[in-house]
Amino acid sequence: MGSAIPEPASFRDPDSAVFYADGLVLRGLSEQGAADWRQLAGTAFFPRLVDEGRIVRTALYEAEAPLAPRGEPWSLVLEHERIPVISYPFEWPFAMLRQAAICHLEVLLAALEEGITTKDGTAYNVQFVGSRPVFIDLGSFEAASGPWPGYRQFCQTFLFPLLVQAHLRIAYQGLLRGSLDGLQPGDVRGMFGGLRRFKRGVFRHVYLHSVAERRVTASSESVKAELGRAGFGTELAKATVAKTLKLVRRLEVKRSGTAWSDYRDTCSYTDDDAAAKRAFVEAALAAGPSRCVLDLGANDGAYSLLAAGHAEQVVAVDGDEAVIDGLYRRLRQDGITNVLPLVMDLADPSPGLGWRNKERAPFAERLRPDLVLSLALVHHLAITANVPLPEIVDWLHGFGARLVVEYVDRPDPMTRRLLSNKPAGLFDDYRIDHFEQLLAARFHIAERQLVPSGTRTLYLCEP
Amino acid sequence: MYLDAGTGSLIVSVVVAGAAGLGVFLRMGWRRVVGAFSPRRRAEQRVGDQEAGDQRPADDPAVSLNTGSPPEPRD
Repeated sequence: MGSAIPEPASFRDPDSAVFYADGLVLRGLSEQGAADWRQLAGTAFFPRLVDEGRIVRTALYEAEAPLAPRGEPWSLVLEHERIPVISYPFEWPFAMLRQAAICHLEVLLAALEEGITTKDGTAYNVQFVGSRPVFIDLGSFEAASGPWPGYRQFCQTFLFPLLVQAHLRIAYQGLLRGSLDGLQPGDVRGMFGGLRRFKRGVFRHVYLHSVAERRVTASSESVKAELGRAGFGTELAKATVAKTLKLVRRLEVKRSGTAWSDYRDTCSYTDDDAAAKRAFVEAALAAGPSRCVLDLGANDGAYSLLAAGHAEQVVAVDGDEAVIDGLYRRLRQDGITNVLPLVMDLADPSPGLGWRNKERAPFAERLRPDLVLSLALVHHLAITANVPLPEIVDWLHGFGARLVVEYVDRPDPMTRRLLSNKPAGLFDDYRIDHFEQLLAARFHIAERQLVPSGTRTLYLCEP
Repeated sequence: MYLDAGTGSLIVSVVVAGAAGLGVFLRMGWRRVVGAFSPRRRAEQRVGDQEAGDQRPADDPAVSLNTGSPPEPRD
């Protein structure tokens, strides 16, 4: 076996650690971890949820495996199915975070039925394969005893973000990105002042939680012993999870229009433009089979959906949470499983976070697309975000993939609108000849097409 | 378990379970682990107790555990 590369996010649990070797995703287990795995493998729910795609497919790895970080051999090594593109909770819109929470709680509820719990409850236990959430932390399963130890993490990384967006319309993405531990009960309590504390789910999960956190000084072990004496059993742990699941299912976000939510109705395209653009993109997609298409500035996902018919995986990225949320709901409704929608400001993409800034990888390190779509995006980065054109072209080139890029010229109504908000003369180098020169210096321009209205040009570029 | 589940969180997760959870919470000797009153009420109660000649020892759990505490350390 080649050398093992430890997964930077998998170091907290001494009984289980993920690493990569020979292109495989492996998990080493200690003696205790191996005992927990054998118990899990003997249950009825585990193979059922794996077959349903709700727990990551896992098998025993028989070949020789590398040593554990401390030098002793692992008791057992498992092999996991690879997740095509890793994403994080702070990149998920409301409906996705809610669906991930439901997935986690349903897996836990099925496990509790057979006397097994999860030792944590973080949103990072769930990944998305396209639009399907899947529970990935096999090391988290252990024999159940006492209350669910993951409840606090579940609140901080799933429930509190959902509550603040559902009840207060506060976008949680920045808050989750700001702390991998999620939102603290005391901070969330501060957001729900006055009568707001009586909104659905807030009094128990937030208000009491914050009070208990300050007032309870006994140790966890003594509280668990007291609870055991008072008659706490698995039935009660199940009731906690079932009630929380019911609450999560009922949470919904109220939306008013956002800048982009009615973009299709207000954008400056004519029908002929839209048809020409669609045909150009479709030809680029059909030119070769694609493993992964990255749609930058995907908006409502019209081109991501087009790409979904040609590629194994499509990643649709946009900074507007509302449109990405709408796209996710549409994917679920239409049963489209190979599109992963993500919320991200492309001028401020997800950085490396956590321990040594390596626990959670920067966005660009998590995917290797073979085709990038950058449609109606460059003028927003250049004019709204003030990113110099050479920087933008370098960035697009950095993906190392074929590129379909749209240049929206100065006379276009959208560009005029963006320019009208900036001082005159600031963007004099935003010109098509300059853009084309920059493209040609980094790519081979294979095709070029002016759309019928004459203000937008499409390019197909080879790296 | 390698995480600190947070003692306060454990208790809330029991209360969240509904009526049966509340029953367990009330039976578990919750006064010993949870500060039952606000700091002001506790202070008033202590003054009241002293005026009534209560000789409650300082290390009585009902006093020493109810003095408020900094939040749980993070996981």
